Amino acid sequence: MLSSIPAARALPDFANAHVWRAGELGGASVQTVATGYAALDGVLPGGGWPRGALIELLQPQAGVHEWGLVAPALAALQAQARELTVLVGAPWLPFGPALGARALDMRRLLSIEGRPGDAPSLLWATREALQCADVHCVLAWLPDARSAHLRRLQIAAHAHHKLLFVFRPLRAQQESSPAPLRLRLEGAADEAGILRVDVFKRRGPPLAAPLLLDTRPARLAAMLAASRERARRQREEAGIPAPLLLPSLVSLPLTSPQSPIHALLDRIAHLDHH
Amino acid sequence: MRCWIALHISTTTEAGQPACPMDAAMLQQAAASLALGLTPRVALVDEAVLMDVTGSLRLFGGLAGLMQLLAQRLEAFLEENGLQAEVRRAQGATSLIALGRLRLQAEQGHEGAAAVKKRVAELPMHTLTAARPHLGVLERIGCRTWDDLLRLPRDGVARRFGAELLQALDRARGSAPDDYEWLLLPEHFEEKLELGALVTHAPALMAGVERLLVQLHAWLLGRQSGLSALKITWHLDKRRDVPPTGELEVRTAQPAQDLRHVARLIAEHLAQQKLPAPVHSLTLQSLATELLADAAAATGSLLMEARKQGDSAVELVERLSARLGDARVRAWQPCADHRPELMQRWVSARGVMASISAQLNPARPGRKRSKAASKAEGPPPEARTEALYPAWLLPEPIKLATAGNNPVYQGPLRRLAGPQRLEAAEWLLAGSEAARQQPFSGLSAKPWALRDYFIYRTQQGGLLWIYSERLGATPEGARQRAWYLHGFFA
Repeated sequence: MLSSIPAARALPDFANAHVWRAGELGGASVQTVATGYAALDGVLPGGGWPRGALIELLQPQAGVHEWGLVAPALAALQAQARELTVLVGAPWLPFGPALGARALDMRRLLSIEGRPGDAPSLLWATREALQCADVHCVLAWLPDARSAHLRRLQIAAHAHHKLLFVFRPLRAQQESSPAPLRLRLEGAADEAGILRVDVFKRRGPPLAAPLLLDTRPARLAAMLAASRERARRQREEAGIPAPLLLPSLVSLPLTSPQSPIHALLDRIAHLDHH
Repeated sequence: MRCWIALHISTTTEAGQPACPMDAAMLQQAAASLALGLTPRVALVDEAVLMDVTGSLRLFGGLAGLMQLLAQRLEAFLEENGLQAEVRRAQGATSLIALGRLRLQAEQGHEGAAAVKKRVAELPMHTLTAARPHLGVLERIGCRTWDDLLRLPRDGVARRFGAELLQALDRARGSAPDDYEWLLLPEHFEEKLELGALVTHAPALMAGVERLLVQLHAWLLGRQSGLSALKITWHLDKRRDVPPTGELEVRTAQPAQDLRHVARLIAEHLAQQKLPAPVHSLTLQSLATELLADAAAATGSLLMEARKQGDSAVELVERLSARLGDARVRAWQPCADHRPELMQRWVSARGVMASISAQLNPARPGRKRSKAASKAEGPPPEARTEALYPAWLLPEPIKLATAGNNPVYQGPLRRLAGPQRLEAAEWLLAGSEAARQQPFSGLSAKPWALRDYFIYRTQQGGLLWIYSERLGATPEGARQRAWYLHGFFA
């Protein structure tokens, strides 16, 4: 008999707000920072990056997709309060002019360099940074971190209510992780530079299909599109698709098993212009 | 009417707690230093600290306000140093009355609260220090309170017990000047501690350092200053053939009164020290202190405590640098140059702490020194922004393998855009002084930077920023191009 009563009725109102049903997207009570991408906000619990939780980002190679995904949220955070962003163990040196174009204030960025074989001190530095009152966000590249380490970071982020991104290689997907939010990032193999984002762990039902985000800066995307167009025209004028200057364009666009559709769409788009 | 406060502080150890590391004399000294923050007239008498607060009553909002502030500061001091101690206070119109009440309160224990209100005349004889040698006689002649003694004829008392007792009574009554050798804090803190046992392991020195830091903390509070540099010297066992001492200097960017951060810095530095011989004693010296003008206001303010949840950025940078080394904790600085590798510098964050804290707290008026420094440097170069640059830059370009005339990086690459030509000719180099100081000596030593930048895409979908060096203008060089990977778009 009880099952016929709608669940919302069965509970008093005040309790209702704190109940999360596993079939729905959770995290109404989570404080979040908008990611800057409406499509991504829509699939994240609470509508953005959660504060005070470990966000795990898995990608095939360190240093490939970070800034495009994270920069809009960081820029919004930096605009709110004058606090530091700390990078721990970044794979290379961030390039100021490019990040400045993404509206990041480079003067409020602190970079802690890693050394090969010195994973413990990076973990320590991450925890220390999380404890600092003047830090609002920590980005950590921890390829060697284990689940127990991440749990400590998760606790620290929760206790100090900080935004914490941890970047790890793809192989970590099979390991258990205390992070409440885990994403896999993969570059699509077409030229438009669409980033495939799969939210494979969140408070809510599994994501039906990976999201496609355009994370490149507008100017760069426009420049690349223009170059593509120019190359296509040159090829057309030459008649034979064998321009000497750009021999690599002779080959057909690389198709990858992951996104045959996009490669196909690209080719169709080229045909339409004929 | 004058107003005196007598203060007594004693350690308490609870079962299961480690014994208090401070002995009674050190605690008394610490309490006296704290008291000096409230009045300059502080004296150490027997077991108590006597302070004449007549002159500072108005400043601290009357006796009640001053007592509260004193209690707050003592409590904060004990808490910050992890000490457990019992503090008793008594107040009186002269120093001896305050002291007498304090002693009465002490022996009556917890019921002694009423003793504070007790009439002066009813104070028992033994609470007067000068009467202590004669207590037996006084007891037998029926003098139990101060009043009893005062009723006896003066010349008889002077003949029987000596002039000292009468003088003390006069002081207690206020008819003789109530003066002491006032306590003065030394200009520089220097304290030596003999360790209980020989220490062979540097981090184990921390226990001794902590004891000294408690004293230093009290000294700082008394002088209303913040510490910006200190030196620790350890004295090694002389039987070994090694230098007799070793030392460690620790500096902080912001003068600190709360030494917990300094203690953590010292611990980090000590962890990296190696002792060549056992250590038998330690010396702690203050090298530089700065007067904190608003220390009195800041310590009493509740807002200060509430605002800070965790350490400040300065403390973070100092602690990270202490363990990892200055070179690994870096901050960004823009440079005026056209070559990408010289557009920015990642410098040691400890060196540019002033500009970082200025970024974080723009409203706070900078201290004079930092203001002068920034004026000398001039305005920092404006940061350029350019969306067409990659988000990651390699510190040193990587020379790429080639297949035919094309670069290869993790498989074949596809050219998406380019060339973008960059020419930094000799006149540019000659003008920029900064270029010569760059760590990229290999690059800046080259008179010409003639490059064509391209954007290539890897098979995995990443974008690379690759340039080819235009080696001279000969057609032969143009055919044999060298390709370098300089950055990643992310």
